[in-house]
Amino acid sequence: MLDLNNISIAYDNKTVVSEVTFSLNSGEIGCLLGPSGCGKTSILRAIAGFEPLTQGEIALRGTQVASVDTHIAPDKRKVAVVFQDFALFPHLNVAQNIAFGLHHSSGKEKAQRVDELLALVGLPDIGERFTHALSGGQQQRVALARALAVRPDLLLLDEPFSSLDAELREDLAQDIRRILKQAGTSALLVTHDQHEAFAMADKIGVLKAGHLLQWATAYQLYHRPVDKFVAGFIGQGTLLPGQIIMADSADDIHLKTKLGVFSLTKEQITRFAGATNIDVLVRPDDIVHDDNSQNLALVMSRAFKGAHILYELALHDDPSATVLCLAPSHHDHALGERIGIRLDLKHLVMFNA
Amino acid sequence: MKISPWREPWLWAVTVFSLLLAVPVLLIFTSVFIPQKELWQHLFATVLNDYVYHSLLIAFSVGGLTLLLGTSLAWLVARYEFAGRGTLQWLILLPMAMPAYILAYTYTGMLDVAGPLQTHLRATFNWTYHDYWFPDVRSVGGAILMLSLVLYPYVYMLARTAFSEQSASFYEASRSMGVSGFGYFRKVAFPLARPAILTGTALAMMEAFADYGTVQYFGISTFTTGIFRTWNGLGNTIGAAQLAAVLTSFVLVLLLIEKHSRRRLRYFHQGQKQNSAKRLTLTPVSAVWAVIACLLPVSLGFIIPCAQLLIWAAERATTQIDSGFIDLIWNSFYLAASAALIAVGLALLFAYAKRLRSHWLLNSQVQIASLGYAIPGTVIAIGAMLMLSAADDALNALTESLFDTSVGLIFSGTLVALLLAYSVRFLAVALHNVEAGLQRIKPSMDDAARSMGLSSFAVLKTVHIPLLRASVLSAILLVFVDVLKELPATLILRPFNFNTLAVRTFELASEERLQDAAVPAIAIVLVGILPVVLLTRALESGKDR
Repeated sequence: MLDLNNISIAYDNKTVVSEVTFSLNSGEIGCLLGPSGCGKTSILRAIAGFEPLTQGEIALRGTQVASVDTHIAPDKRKVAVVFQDFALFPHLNVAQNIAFGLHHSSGKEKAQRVDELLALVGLPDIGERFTHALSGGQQQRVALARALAVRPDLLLLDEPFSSLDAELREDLAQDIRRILKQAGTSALLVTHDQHEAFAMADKIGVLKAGHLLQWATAYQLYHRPVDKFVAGFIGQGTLLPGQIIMADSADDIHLKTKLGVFSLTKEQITRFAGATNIDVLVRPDDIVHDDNSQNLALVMSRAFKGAHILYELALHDDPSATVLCLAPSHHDHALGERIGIRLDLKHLVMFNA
Repeated sequence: MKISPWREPWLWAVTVFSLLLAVPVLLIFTSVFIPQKELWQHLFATVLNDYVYHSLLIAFSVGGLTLLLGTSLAWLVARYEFAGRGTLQWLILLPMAMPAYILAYTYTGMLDVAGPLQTHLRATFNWTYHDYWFPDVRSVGGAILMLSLVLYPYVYMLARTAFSEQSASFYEASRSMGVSGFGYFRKVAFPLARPAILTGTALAMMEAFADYGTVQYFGISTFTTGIFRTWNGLGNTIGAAQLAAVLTSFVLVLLLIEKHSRRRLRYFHQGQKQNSAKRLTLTPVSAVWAVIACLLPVSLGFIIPCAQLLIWAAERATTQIDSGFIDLIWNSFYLAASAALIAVGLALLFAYAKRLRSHWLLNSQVQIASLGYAIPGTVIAIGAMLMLSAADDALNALTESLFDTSVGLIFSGTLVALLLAYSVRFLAVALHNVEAGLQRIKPSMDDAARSMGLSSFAVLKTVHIPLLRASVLSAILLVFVDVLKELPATLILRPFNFNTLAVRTFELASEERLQDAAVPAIAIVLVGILPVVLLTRALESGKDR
């Protein structure tokens, strides 16, 4: 559906995106996730045709639409965009906004398509209203309907929820995912909010300073992050220092941490050959609070989350070796207390220190 | 506890001053209740048709032409990037500095039968007077052109701001849906900018309705010349006031339409401010055309007539710059300066009253008092005349009954009349600037300063005055220049033998002493450039925000 091959983008000779490659299958929803200024919106704009490439190529449905020498006009790409500010035309009513791109249809066809789309986004009967009379969530849906009206091959959404209330966001993200799946539209969204990404996307790409670090499912990003940045950006967790201990034979290599000693797989041994200091990613779900456990950890800080309390615990009273733990809400422990924990680590995620 | 706003003395001051400013216009309207059957019979039989036809024709043609010219120039400058755009975008504003009547007589001098162009044509082709056709500048078409050339910057200025404020995402959304180029202008950019463009057009049309100098010089019968003739020639002030009432009704209808078109304006600025669209770079050939398109109106409306004026002034400078000319400058200066100080003083009073006590009665008083900008100078002058001669009559009757002596026309025959008329006409200009400055001083700043232990006086000194200074100064400058350029009200209300630059320019031109008129005209144009510079700076800083 969409293939980006080694693309770079620069403004005034300043490279903002370098050598990004990923693909999106038909009907899939992808997401570019990263802090502001990481170049994610530039990639979106390049796919839409608003920015030229300085390297690489973009193909849609197997046809090249952009490279260093080719630049197909935005309206010829069958790509629709939902803008961050929605860009709904204030001088047109909702129906006229949705019908804006339908140049070649008759009046009757237009009206029919508008009704279809308003039904799809769950807002029948608002066609006559002006956009300023709509709530943020309604404006969002109208913008989506307008983008879908031209039956695009690919829908691009630029920070689609950033101007909405926090409570609205996740509901709307689920709704929009449902609408897109129902319409069978491939889509790519850009956001800095991982919860939106998790709620909407099948595949997520994490970007940092113009580089795509990892393109994978949410599960893989959380459990198999490729580097410390992805590990820190996605979900919560801490990095626990550890040392590689060589025993007598080359196959008998262990990792020693404050949580205990772990044996390494063959693959890990090859990957970290020669390293001694290692950081281990520990997620809150790897540590289970157990009052009966003899393994005690010191409460450094706590945050009440409603159903759970998130504790930051120091192992062996060492403040440089901390882990996070989600304990059930009734397990209410004060700062400085020592509480029992149990390790529930399914796999080791290690990085060079 | 609710304190009645009438307990505070300065609210009374606002009421008194706003009434004082409203009376001249109110008198114009009440004049219609005094029957003037003979006059109207005469007018119907002779010139009334011309008045209505010419006034409407000129106003609407000027509206159409300024709309076309101002909008296209604004679109070119806001949307496209080409060499010289930065300089041209403020050069385009320059014709604002040129009063229409000066343009009118300059072109007459240049294009008349005896003017340099026609003389040259005759010499080159060996023609005589009857051999060729040449358009007559002194015609309705000529007046429309002259007025449009100096009034299009109103539309240009507002349209340019509106276009450059339009979010880039509107353009990109349209493009991705297959609408770009002229389609985008027609379907999105123009409708979005329409309220601003119509405001500019309405302003230009009001100025066209108000014009006296151009149409009088060209000998065209319109309402303004008719009012003047009825007052001066027929000596019928009530009749003149009634004609003025009709003209004012036209203007007020225009004002209502304009207000109506702005009704939805605020919705057009919803949502978060996005980057405005990047300008498209023109190909070299198109860029040349763009530069020509921008230069043409500036050349016609400013550069060419200015050059001609300078040539004439150079020929006559030695004879014209004498003690009489110094008197002229001094008269104009102190009149304009006093009017500016009075108008800005009133504006400060009104603006602070509104800020401290937002009461509907107070707000509507201020609004009525600032309606004057829409009302032609001729109308205001007749109204002020009616009001002040009544005051003079009453005062003289009083002094005669008490002291057996009369004090003379101490209101209507002195500068008081002019200062009143200028205050009515230009209060809105001052108020607009002062209010814009005051808006930047948020009420929370007062509270913050007071909570840090400053007295109200200290707050005024350390917060308000520094923050307001720039806008007060620009208000003074704008009113000063407007007064200096003002012609019809000055002609009607000036004391006997009192001359200003504008009046003298017009008199000399009317006497066909065009070269002599050039020296005072140049002075007016030079001063008129000041507010253009000010505007350019305001527009520039507006863009940075």
